[in-house]
Amino acid sequence: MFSRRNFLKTTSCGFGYMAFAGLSTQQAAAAAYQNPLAPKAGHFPARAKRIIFLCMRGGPTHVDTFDYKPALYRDHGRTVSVQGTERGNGRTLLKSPWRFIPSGQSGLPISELFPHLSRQADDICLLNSLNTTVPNHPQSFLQLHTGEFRFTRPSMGSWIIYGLGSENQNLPGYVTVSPPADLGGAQNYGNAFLPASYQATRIGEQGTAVQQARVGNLSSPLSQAAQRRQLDLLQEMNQELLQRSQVNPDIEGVINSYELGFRMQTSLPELMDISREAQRTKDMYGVGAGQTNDFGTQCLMARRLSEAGVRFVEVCHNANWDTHGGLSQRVPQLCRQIDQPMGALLADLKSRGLLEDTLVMWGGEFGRTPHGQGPDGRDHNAAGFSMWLAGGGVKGGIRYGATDEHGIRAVENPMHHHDLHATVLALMGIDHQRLVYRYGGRDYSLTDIHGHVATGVMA
Amino acid sequence: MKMQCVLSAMLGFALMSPAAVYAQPKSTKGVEFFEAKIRPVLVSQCFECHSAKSSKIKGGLLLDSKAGVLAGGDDGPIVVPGKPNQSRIINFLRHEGTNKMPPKNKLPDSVIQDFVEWIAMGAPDPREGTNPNKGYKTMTIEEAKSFWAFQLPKKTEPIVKNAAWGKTPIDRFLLAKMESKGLTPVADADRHTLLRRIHFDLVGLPPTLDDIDVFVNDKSANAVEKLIDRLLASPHYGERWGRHWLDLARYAESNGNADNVPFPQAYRYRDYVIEAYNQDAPYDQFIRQQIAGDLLPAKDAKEKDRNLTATGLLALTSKPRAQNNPDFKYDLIADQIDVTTRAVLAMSVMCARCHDHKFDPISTKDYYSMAGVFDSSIMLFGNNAGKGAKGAKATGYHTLSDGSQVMGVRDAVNATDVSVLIRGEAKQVGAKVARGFPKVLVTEASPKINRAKSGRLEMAEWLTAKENPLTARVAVNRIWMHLFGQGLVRSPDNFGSLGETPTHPELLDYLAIRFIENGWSTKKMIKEIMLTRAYQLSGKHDAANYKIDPDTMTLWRMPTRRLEAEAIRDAVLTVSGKLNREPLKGTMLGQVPKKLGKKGPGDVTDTSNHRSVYLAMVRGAPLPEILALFDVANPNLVVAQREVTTVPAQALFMVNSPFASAHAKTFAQRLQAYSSLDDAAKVNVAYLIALGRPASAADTQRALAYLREAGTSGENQAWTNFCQTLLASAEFRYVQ
Repeated sequence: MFSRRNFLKTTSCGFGYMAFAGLSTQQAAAAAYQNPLAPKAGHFPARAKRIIFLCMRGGPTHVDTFDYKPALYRDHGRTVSVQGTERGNGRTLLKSPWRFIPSGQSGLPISELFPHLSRQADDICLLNSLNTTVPNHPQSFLQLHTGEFRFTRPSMGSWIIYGLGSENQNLPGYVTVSPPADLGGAQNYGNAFLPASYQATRIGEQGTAVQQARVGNLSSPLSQAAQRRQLDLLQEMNQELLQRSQVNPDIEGVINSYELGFRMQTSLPELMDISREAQRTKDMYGVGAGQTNDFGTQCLMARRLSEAGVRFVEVCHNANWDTHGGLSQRVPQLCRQIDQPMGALLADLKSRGLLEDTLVMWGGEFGRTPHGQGPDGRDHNAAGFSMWLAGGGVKGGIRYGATDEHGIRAVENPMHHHDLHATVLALMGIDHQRLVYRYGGRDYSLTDIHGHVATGVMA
Repeated sequence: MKMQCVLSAMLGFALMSPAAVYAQPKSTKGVEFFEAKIRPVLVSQCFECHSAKSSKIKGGLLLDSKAGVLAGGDDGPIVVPGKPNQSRIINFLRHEGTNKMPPKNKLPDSVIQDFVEWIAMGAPDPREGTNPNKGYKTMTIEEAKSFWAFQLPKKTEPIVKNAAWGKTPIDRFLLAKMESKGLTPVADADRHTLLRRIHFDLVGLPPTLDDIDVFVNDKSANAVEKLIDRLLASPHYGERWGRHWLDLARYAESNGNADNVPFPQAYRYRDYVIEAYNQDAPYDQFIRQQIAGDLLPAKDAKEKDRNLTATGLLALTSKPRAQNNPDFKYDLIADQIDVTTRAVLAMSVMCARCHDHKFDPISTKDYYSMAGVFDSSIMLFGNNAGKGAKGAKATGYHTLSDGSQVMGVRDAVNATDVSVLIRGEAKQVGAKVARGFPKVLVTEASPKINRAKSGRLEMAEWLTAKENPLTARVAVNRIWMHLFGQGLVRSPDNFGSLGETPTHPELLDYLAIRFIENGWSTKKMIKEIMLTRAYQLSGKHDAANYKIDPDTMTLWRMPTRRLEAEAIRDAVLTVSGKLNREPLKGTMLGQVPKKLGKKGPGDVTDTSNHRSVYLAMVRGAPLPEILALFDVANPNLVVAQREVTTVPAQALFMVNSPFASAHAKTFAQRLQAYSSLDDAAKVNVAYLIALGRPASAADTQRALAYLREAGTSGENQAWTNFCQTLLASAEFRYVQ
């Protein structure tokens, strides 16, 4: 007979112990199959085990941040002609109001707006040749996250945990912090036709300070002792049902889910609670200091989650990079909000020995036109823009790919969103053509029929 | 096993491949020319992108075999032996059009001249092998004739040893399979288990205390049949079974794009579906109404209204934004083809938008022949629908006899055929194809399209013709799936060559034939299945059977099934006594705003106690939390079978959410009304209400021990917590 005291003892033995104890090998295999987040091996050795995606909504201007274009300063005021889906035909080139500074040993040119981040230049691989299909926010934001904007498809993070499982069974495998409710909303971190276990756990949302973010149903309305008693009763009932059914992986799954859920109640809030960090660390991220407080908190939370084994963490900057006007005021402000936290994140990961197998990715859905929109703004540009990668087996201190001399179109090693996805999966040890899921009669993948791995970014 | 069969079928048919037509005696001179002049160029210039070993095969073209050269690429042949002028490869090599090969460096004129000569010689090529095209082979129309799903259902008689076991022909089919594998069915289910199973399966609600009392004490021989008849006649039956269809219909009340324009009249389609199930509308008529209701004759205004409302199926599409999307029109058509073919035929024709189906005999021509039918039809999204979506026009509605308006479809003034779009790209226009249906499913008897009309009427007739081998099979397979957890074909939305083959093909055929014989009556089919001994078996484990058939493919016992999201929520409401059993009139979108955005109407579960089928289903916005957690169908997708996941978020919802706590509290209050009963008797009542069975001695003992211990800090709270454990338990969530 399974007693409550007994249950209390066995739960401390860790995930699965109780469920698997006393089962035959075949039954244990059936039960293991029930855990869709069990860690799995990739197709080839992974350079990165986990990923932190710093998402900048709105289309960050590349020619003012990470794509240094000397000719743009030279040709300032000249009229440009563009075609196709590119915007702003007949407008005049607008030079960046800021200087680029050669940074690190590598001399990587980074805008003067990033004094902190530029100290990590030798770990950063600038991707200067991004491009995508449509210069509209909702479509491109969805394409960046799911590879597709016309149909509902699983998000990149869902694909990755579907492929690799989770490293920590007390935590969700995929967490998104402060995602926007618009621009495709939950689809951007949804599982679509993949099983629901592969969707992200959302913490907070855009427009709400991350300090106020809560995960749904994590706190019990009961006292800890009362909840423990209730849970013990519940698990005894479930155990008895399992004994009556003799073999039933479904019931075992329910038992496991309560165990996991109970542990998540403690582990997740602990990780989200950055007050446990040393003051020195908080200062380094700019936590508590005006402009950097929010993103600093997000980055520090991301590091804590990542360090604890969350496979995919996305952090969405709680601001909008859609600078059609007011460029000279807004861009420095946006950069100030993220510069110190990002620099701290890379340095912190490095000092903990995590950067080598943690891939950090920065960017938004597209970039902005090198030609002006009005005297002090830039329009959407999907033909060429920049992102960057750091850590996780990428080559630091290099610029991969290039736009034309003014930064309008990607011309050298052009990298579509699909290619970015193929490359990120490859860094995680996944072959983007082989990670497939059968739905509605055909195999789907993140990159569908597209995608080339940019081997040039790999260390 | 299945894959092996498919492969051997492929090899067997290799001789009949189109390439065989060109087989010529090997000319030594020609082959020498090929070896000297052509092969080296192919290897050095083309194989990077056009060989089976290429990391990425471009344009679907393989040049590393004779068959590949002759088959051509995605957009058709490139070599016509003997006719260099008609061979597009020459244009490519000369860099004459947009397609320039090799893309970066044009080959010297002398080399191009070698290709001209080689083709003029008849393109001699000694290389062996069929077109290896990535290792798959498409089933041809000829081969399809012998593929199980494309043959008409056949009558057979099962032969069993134990003639005494089965109650019905269905039982004999199942028993024959079990006997052939050395399996023995387990014992029958007890009364409580059976009652709960039948209740959830027919009406999606747990039995009430009265229901239990009546059934358990009914000793008559036809007690089960009476129960089934009573529940089939309940209005809750349509709410349950209509929802199954709404999954396939990707039913939602908004278009799901960035503006998320609401469909304020969509609920009328929902009500049409529920009513159709309650009235047991013949399934063939149900399909015809949804595809072409506007074109069907009607005997009165009410029938006309139903016909028009039914066409909402096609208009309820999830719409991408029109802005910056040259493919917008074709995206909508893709959705309509997908919902039609996958929901009714369990075939995925949508693949053929960009290329011939890789496995099934469905070509791009087939696809665009259907596309013409939808392109000749106008979708009525409603007056509201155009306003938010930039570029998409407002379209109006159908107007019913009482003046109300419904979404739907009507014929365009001018019916037109459309052209094949190469690789599905709106800018790459190929040849026009006449409106029609996939060739593999067309016979002499199939309806011919009236060229002056869209062809939807004929499509509706073609889908539901008795000669269509798929429609009835697909329908009965899904009915079976909803009663046993798995279909006889375990891929209920794919009866093609990559789908599963039936576990009991003869039984599937028997059911399809019975279904049509009984006037396509869903209720009769359900009843016939429920009256089998197999359906009434217990879910008991049996070690010997388990060893042979652990997945219960033969149904030696009733599989344990997780309740659907709606049934879980509705059961919680029933148990707490809060369920509002009245159908919802209208929609929960309330004062419908022009745009719903991504937040949607909020979680209506907090404010409504109506059955879940009436909750607002808004695309792209969070669905009601409890439904989303328990795998409700994604309203952007055609869903034949839902996922079943078990995740910690569900556990946390059941113990920590305000919803679960509130209903546990009202459940406990219900129990307190039994003031004359002692605690043990109350525990028993709680088990009957929540789990449909009396509490065992162990259950009672455990519950009383808990209440004693927990009750020290408040008796009411302890009862509430106890009630919540019943709602949160695995047993509550599963039917045995």
